[in-house]
Amino acid sequence: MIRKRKRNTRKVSKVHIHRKRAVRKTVQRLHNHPEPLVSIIIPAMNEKATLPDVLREAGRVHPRSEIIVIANGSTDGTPEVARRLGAKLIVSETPLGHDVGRRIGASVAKGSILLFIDADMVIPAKQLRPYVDAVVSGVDVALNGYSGPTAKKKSHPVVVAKYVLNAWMLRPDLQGTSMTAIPHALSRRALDVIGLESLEIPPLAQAKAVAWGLNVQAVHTVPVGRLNPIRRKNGDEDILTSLVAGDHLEALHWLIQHRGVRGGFDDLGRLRDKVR
Amino acid sequence: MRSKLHRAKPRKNQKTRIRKFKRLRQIRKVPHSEHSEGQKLTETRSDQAVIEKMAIEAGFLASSGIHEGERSCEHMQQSLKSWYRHKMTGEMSFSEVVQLSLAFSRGYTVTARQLGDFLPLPLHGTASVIITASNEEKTLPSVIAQLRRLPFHEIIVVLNGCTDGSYEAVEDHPSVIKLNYPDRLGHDVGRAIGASAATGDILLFTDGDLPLRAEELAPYIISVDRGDDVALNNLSPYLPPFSEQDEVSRSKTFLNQCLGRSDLKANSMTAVPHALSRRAINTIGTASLIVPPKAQALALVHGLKVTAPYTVDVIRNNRVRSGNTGAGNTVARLITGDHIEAIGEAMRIKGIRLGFKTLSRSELAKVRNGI
Repeated sequence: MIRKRKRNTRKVSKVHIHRKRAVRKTVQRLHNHPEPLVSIIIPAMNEKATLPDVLREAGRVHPRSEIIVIANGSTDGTPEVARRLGAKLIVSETPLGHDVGRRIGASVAKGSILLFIDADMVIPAKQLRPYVDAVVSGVDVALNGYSGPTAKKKSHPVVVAKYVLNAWMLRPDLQGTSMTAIPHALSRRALDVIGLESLEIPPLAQAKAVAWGLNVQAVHTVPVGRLNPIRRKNGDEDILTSLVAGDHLEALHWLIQHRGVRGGFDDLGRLRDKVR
Repeated sequence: MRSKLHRAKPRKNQKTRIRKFKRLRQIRKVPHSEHSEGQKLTETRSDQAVIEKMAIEAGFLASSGIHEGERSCEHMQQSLKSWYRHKMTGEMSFSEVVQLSLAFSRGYTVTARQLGDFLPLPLHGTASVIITASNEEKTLPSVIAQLRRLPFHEIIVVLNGCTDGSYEAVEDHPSVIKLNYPDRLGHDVGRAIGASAATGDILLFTDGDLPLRAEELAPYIISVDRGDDVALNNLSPYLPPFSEQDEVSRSKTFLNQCLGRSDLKANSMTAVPHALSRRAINTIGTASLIVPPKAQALALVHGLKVTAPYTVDVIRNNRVRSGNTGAGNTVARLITGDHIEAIGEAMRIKGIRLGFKTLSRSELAKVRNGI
């Protein structure tokens, strides 16, 4: 399983993602532009080890950028690291989760482009720029083209849910791409249309973006390898799967509210009252 | 196997017969675990042959003991049932039951040749079959002929907007009920109408364009007779890898998954053949059958026993029509809408998240962080 995944990673592109590996390098202090074009939003919970590298790469994405770290529930000195390196910092004692963290980050962001990444995954700046570039050139929601593993007959429930939501939103071309996965970028317009609150339930945000005619595209593929946001093995996976499945159902519920019981698909003229 | 059975003489020396009877009963008393189809029978092939020989004899005895005029499919069915009840213990696989029934029929028809290849089944309840047809004059006669081989107490043919000779293609027979709707009812509505008219304990659904053999349909009937509420066609063997699946298969998988039955994969009431129990009909209502995924969702939500016990390849035989081929075709869109309707219906009963955990994001973060 693991070996296969590695093979896939190489095939898709030669991105090296280091997870939780401390790389000793002198990291320069970040420069947050006073009138940023790009806001890079990074929720972090006990990510001291990878945060310096994540911030370094974030700092190289765009000359006019601000970097916002939402340090939540951390006990390992994550906030101090972020502060020392010059990121804008929001601290929460209680854990928030990625989605709430992103919403809080977005609420203070000043840029007209919002790029969302995670603190536990070092993605080179070169791999992050395509998302920003896409929004610059008119995309409202620039998604990671990674759809998760689909080679087997039976796919992971989260992968199934993502594919189905996109298909039911009449966007099968988006395959299994999702705002639950990073990296992704939003235009300011997208944020205004979707609303901050929706960011807490990424599939709902995505459904709204598609339904309201925003330009949603999978723009670049970073093989984040494992299912996003499922990171940890063992029994926790069930809880996360359950949560993400529930999030997709909330998105579908919204779709039903918005487009009717059949989600806008007709039934080819069934004479339903013929059945008693 | 078949030719061997044909050669087997119905009459044997009495002693041998008793010996075989005893042996058989010993075999049958071995307890069988419920979910090990393959291991159910510890006896070898020859033992199965012994049982079949017995069935032939029993069939022969059943028909030879009565007057010629009394020999009928109904009598054959009744004789098989009582013979099976008295002589057979333990659960047999579908194919074994079918083989046994075929053997019994062979024995019975030695004297009652006019009954042909009728296939009696050891059922507890009565069975109805509902066939929907839209301009299937070519296939209907063979479909009905196969259904007539099974012990249905009624065969309900719903003719949906037929403009060809479909009506005439269905033979007139006391057990055949024709429901003719000259105006097109729309997809799956005919099935619901047929279900409303059906009176059996078991309802089998199939299509007028699907020439399936009686032997292939029997497992669904037996499965419901044994206690399943919804017996689906198990199409999992034909399912390609996820990346190559169409949207419809994915929607089906998703619906099952949302209702806690990932094991059903993409199996769905959208596909035929499938069979329902009377209890299923009473629980979900015939009107829900208009939208098959909705009926399935209701069955799952209400805790009915939904299984996919047997595979019949309907994909290979499926007629290609305009509208049911290619990605995003009209039928695919219809089925997608059906699944959305199904999910909505489930949400009305079980809540928006269908019972999936609503862990607070903060707790989730802790879990994620390994705290």
